[in-house]
Amino acid sequence: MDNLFLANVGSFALVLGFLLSAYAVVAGIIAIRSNNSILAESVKGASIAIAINTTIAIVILEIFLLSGQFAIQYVAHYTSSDLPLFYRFSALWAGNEGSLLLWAWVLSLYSLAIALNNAVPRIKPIALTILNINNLFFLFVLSFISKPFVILNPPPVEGNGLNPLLQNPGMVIHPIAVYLGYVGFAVPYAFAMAAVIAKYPGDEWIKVTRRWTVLAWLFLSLGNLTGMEWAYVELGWGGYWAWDPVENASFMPWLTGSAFLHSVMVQERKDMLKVWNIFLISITYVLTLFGTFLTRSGVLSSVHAFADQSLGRYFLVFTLLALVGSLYLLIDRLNFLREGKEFESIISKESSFLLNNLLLVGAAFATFWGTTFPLFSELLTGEKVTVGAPFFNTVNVPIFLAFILLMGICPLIAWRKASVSRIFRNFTVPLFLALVVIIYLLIVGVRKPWAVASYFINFFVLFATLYEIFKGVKTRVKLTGENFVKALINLFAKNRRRYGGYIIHIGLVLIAIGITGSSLYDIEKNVTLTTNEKVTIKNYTIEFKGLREVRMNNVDAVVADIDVYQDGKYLTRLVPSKNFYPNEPNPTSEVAIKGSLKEDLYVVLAGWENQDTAIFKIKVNPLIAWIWIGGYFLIFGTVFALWPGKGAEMGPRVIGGPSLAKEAE
Amino acid sequence: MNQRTKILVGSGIIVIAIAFLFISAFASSGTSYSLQVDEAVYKIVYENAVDQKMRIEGRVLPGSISWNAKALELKFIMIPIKGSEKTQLPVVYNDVKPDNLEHPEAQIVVEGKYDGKVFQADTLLVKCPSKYEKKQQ
Repeated sequence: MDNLFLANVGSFALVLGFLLSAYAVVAGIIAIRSNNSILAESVKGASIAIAINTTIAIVILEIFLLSGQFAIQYVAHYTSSDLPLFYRFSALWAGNEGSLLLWAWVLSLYSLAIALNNAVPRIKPIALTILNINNLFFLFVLSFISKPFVILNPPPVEGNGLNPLLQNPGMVIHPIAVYLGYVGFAVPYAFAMAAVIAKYPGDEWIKVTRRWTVLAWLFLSLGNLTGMEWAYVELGWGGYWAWDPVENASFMPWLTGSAFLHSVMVQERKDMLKVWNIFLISITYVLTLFGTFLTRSGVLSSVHAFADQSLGRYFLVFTLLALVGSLYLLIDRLNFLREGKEFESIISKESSFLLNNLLLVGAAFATFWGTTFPLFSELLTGEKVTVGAPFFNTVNVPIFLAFILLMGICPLIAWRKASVSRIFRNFTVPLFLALVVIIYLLIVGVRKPWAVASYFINFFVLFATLYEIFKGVKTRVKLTGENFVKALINLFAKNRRRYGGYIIHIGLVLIAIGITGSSLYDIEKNVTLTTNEKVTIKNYTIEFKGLREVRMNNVDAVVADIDVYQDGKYLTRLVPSKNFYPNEPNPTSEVAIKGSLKEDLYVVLAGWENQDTAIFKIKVNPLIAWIWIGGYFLIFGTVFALWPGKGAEMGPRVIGGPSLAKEAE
Repeated sequence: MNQRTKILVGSGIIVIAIAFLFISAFASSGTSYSLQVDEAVYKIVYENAVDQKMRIEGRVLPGSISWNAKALELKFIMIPIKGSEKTQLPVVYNDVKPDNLEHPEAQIVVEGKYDGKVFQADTLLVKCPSKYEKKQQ
């Protein structure tokens, strides 16, 4: 088979997928209106066919990438013949066309899973139709705007290669994770909209989509974390988060998605916050589209944006349609979404969840405002005005601290009505322990007010969560007579949702501790050293031993040898380098990091004047390892809560006497 | 006061607190003008915009880079991305010289203030159009 033929098959598969999606949308709408089961069955068939077509397209593109067919424009743009196989494979999502194809492929598989699933038969066809509208959009873009199978004539001899910054394992996981997260939110969104359209009361849609939501949230969290890690080890500026539009793009849906995960619990238990939940999931999905728009359009100048103006316009229109459509439906059907119950007490789990939601949505709004401010200011005043990182930090840091504090208090508060005195009794031990930690930190010289506040809140929440687990185990030991370890294991295994959630909370606290230390107490020095010269930073002494040149498979590197001494004792040798890739005009810096749980020593070879003189950027980043450790906790906790089987269902609904009396009124 | 009112009042207080935080952050952290080089030069010359935070996009005048490694001092002339090379803004940046500054297609973004003589940049970002997306052939 020659390239031309294969490329045509790929293009044809995409166009066919587009036509099938169009059919599935139209047939779906007619089937829903006329209750035509034969048509509805044909939509199922169309879903299978769409998934097959996107799979064919993605397989063909991978064949081209792996075999290095530079006659295909996409392959020529993002790979080269000296690129390792692994990165040829991952070049699928290095550029616009490939990553949109990946998006469409995942979406079509999700749609297929929903098509073959017979949950909530009354609203499923509508949800499927909404997913197919999304399929239609993406396949339209792939068929006519951003085509992956463009053929170059004559074919170039060599490709451009993959940007070296993207040749990093973290950059392989990051885009995939973000996409799986983005696309995953389409499923709960489609079901929520379907429930509204069908005026279908009840919270079936939440039960059906809960796993999807948590899974999407897991991938989005993973995507954000791997993005931070990549920025830290690969970009060489010593940080991991810059409030860059592209970072914010995936952070905003994470915030609203987190809010949604909590507020649906209130609906599950108490039949409340229905309108709010529909609103939240709509906003979350719209933000994923908006995030794609931001990264794809280059409308906001970001450090790392794919720029394609025309594609951006289509995305913007689609995003706005989704937003206006969702809000219109929601407002139109407010009446049927009447609340099942009222708040019974201001001090109750449901009201603390409401507060959690207000904080998360507030942070999302502030981030949105700061990100898009240049656009709106230009529209209104003609002058582009930007807000910098200080704005985001000033707004979000207090919100996040309040949010974390709530994370510690919330699990101790009962549903419906909690007793204040009992809450305070539960706090004495964690409060005491947190004070001990703070006194220790004050002694070792932590004095910045924000740092003290943040550490105090975070350690309090950490101890409160651990204490809560400890109390649960103790109760279980009393009741069952198991030993402590066995009781702990059983307690977690039998209430996986709750304790998975606690593990996630512990992860978030560890991340917050890491962020506090590394952002308030980092030290940076830029120095120019000659061979055998030393420089001291904190309690490290760094001795520059000279430069050498190294050849690796597709890289020429200039490596600096550095001996590191800590408190006068030899610690390790670090080898930061600058790598020169073929057909890349500029070198990239390979950072050298000596990490420990306490701090990272971070050294970048910034340049050199001659064989004996090199310039270094040296940083000490305290506690940064805890960001990644917290990330592992968060991922583990989510998987633990998600894992199918016993103990993953929601606990029984607790219905007490007083509330029944209230309902009767 | 029934529970519903209490909840509404409580939520209201939280929303107002967040709004207050928001406005005060906006006022205190300051905004900066995002400008092209020619707009920035216009502002400096005609509106006497000294010591105002600015974020300027442009490119480097070829051959204007002077880099003192010992002192970590980078000086260069910034010119508009499109348009005449006669519009020039001298920039001083006291930090490490980025790798791809000399790239012929490099577009740069500086943030900082004009001090009356030169533009003192606190940050310098280099964006290569070829970095992530190749130009359309």
